[in-house]
Order: sequence, then C-alpha cells, then structure tokens
Amino acid sequence: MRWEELDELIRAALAKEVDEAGPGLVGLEERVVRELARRPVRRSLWQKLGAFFSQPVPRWALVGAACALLLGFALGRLTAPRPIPQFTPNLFVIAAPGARQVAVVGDFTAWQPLPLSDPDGDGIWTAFIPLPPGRYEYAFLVDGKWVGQDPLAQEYLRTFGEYVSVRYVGGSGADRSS
Amino acid sequence: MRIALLSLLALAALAQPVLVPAAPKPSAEEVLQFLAGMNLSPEFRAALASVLRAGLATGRATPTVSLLLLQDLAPLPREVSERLLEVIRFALAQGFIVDTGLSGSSMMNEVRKLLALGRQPEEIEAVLRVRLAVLLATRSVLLRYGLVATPPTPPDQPLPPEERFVLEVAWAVSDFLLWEGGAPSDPRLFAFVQARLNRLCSVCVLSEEQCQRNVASLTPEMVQEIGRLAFQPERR
Repeated sequence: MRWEELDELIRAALAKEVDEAGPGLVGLEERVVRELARRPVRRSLWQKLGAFFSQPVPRWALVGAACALLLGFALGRLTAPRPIPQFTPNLFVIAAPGARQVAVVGDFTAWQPLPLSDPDGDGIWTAFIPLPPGRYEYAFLVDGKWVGQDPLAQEYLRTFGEYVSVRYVGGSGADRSS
Repeated sequence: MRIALLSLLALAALAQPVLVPAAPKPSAEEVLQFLAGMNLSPEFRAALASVLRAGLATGRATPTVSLLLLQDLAPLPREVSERLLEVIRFALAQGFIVDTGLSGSSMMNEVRKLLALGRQPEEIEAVLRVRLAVLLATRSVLLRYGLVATPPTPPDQPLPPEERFVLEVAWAVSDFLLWEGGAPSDPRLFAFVQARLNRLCSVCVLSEEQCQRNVASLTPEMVQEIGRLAFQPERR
C-alpha cells in the first residue's frame, strides 16, 4: 500500500468517528463547567484555620474555655509532686569498634560497671542514664581496659596516673565565674 | 510503603541508646546486718555500727554506697579493712558527710573508685587520710572566718545544710593537692577551688544562699590556709 492511500484511509476513519460522536459533543462545555462548579474548592490548612477563627465566638464559649484552662492549671499545681525530680537522661557514648564488652563506671554507679549497648553493631556504644543534678566522675571500661578521657567530659582528673572524666549535670550548666 | 515505614521505625528503635533504669536501693538495716557479719573486731564493729546507723539516718551516708563499700572490704584482711573503715568512722563521728550517694564525690565513693582503679589498700588509706585532714582544716578555717556558723554536730544530729559546702570546698582543695600536684601555697589553688564551686552552683548542688554568701566570700587566703592547716594539724 502507498503512503497516499494509507493517509486517505486514516482521514476517512477519523471523519467517521467525528460524525458518530457528534450528538455526544453537543453541550459538552456547559457540562464541564457545571461539574467544576459542583466540586468544593480545596482550601489549605491555614485557610481553614483562618476561616474558623474569623467566625464570631459566643461569649459563653470564651468563658467556658477560660474556666477549663484555670481548672486544669489548678489541678496540675495541686497534683504535681514537689519538688519535681529533675533526673536528666544523660547520654554516655564511646566509639569502640570491635569491642566485646563496654561499660561505664562512675560516681552514679558507685563505680560498678554499667553495660553500654551497641544493638546495630556499628561500634558506637551508648547508654542513657538518668541523673539528678551534680558533679560526676566517670570512666569507660572497654573490654576491661580503663578509658578515662571522654571527649564529652567537661573536666579531667588524673588519679594515680589514670584519667577520670568529669561531667556536671543539671541547672544552666553555665560557669558563674564568667 | 507501610512496610518500609515500619522497618524504618524498627531500625530507629534499635539504634536508640538504651535508657538504664535505676537499681533497687537497699535499706539501712541491710547495711547494718551486713556489717554485723563482717570479719572485724567486736569493739570496732560496734563503734562503726553506732556512727553508721546515725549517719544513715541523718543523710551523712547512704545505704546504697555504704553496702557496696562494705561488700568490697569484706574479703580484705581484718586489719586492712579496719584501717580504711576507721578513717571513715572518724569522719562520720565528726559529723562530716562521708557519702553523697550516687551523685557527687565523697569518701565512700572515693574508696570504690580507687578499688576500681586497682590501687592498693595502703594507697587508698593515704588518700582517705588527706581527704580527712582537709575536711577538718576546711571546717576549722570556715568557722573561724564565719562562713560556717554551726560547730561540728554529732552524726545523730540533723545535718546542717552548710556541711555540703564544707565537703565541696574540702574536696576541691584535696583534689588540687592530690591530683593536680599542687602545693597549699600554689597561687592556682584558689582559682581551681573557685571554678569548681562556681560550677557546682551552676548545677544547683550548692544552694542559692550558699553560692551568694559563702562562695562569693571565699578568699585566696582562706583556701591557702586550709591547705596549710591540713598538713600542720597542730595548728588546727
């Protein structure tokens, strides 16, 4: 078949399609516009919040909310233990790739080894230890070997030739001398 | 997608550091029961039990560290453990805090630290004697200068709040003398003590009042006098 003949056939087929669909295309534009008008406009969260707060609020609702707030505050004050214990979780972390056992010893453990964990096996051993405010001396034990210089320590002491790290926990942590 | 999110959460949970829970605390009676079973002379055991009972009741010692210390010393020969415990007994009888529990340094925790470091009992005793000498000198000097108002109180009397200030000053001075290689006349001593106390104030170990009144009133002369007195007990 030649190109001209094929082109002719395609044109004829398209003309037939248009003729058959003719009645269906009548009023298409109107139908599309009507459908679009029926769908609600999607508003963003901020627009929704803006619309909500721009509505007038009845006075009784305002008074009720204020009462609920005051009641909650009073209940919280009455039921909270005093003083609220300030046990801050402290991260103890040491890189010890290939180590089999890593522990931390310090004032907060009465110098008993407290194991650190490395669940994903990346050689970073960690423990979160809740501590009350205070000054804490500590060191790590990596496979039983004393490692006293923690880069996260605020001070170091040298006791009988071995380093001990010192960390201050709680308060502002700021030195008052400056 | 859901499976991927769950896997990510599980991985994140695995990678999180473990929060270590606090261990159960023994009672004062457990400590005294353990002491009763220790290989010590009956006279010494009775003397120690008396002050330890009082110290535990008034907050000069805590059951947790006391029990661990006694358990550490129990396997040692009787003379060795008695010599170490005698320094602690004497300090306690003078009304000093010998154990701040699991927060901060004190005599009992010091013994456990030095044992963890593998030091010999003679070395530990020497350190304890320096700590005691500095404690006595600190209280004497602070009383004389009016930074401490309460004279020594027996261990069965309520613990005056200023005893913590005495302990922290003494601990800073003795840390400098023991571990920083400094002499009592060293001009760096005051800066060392002041920096330590300021940091203790910043974490509220010392009360606001102690920080404003006592720490601010401490002078280089007082601190050097503490150091000198510790090594010249006849002047105390």
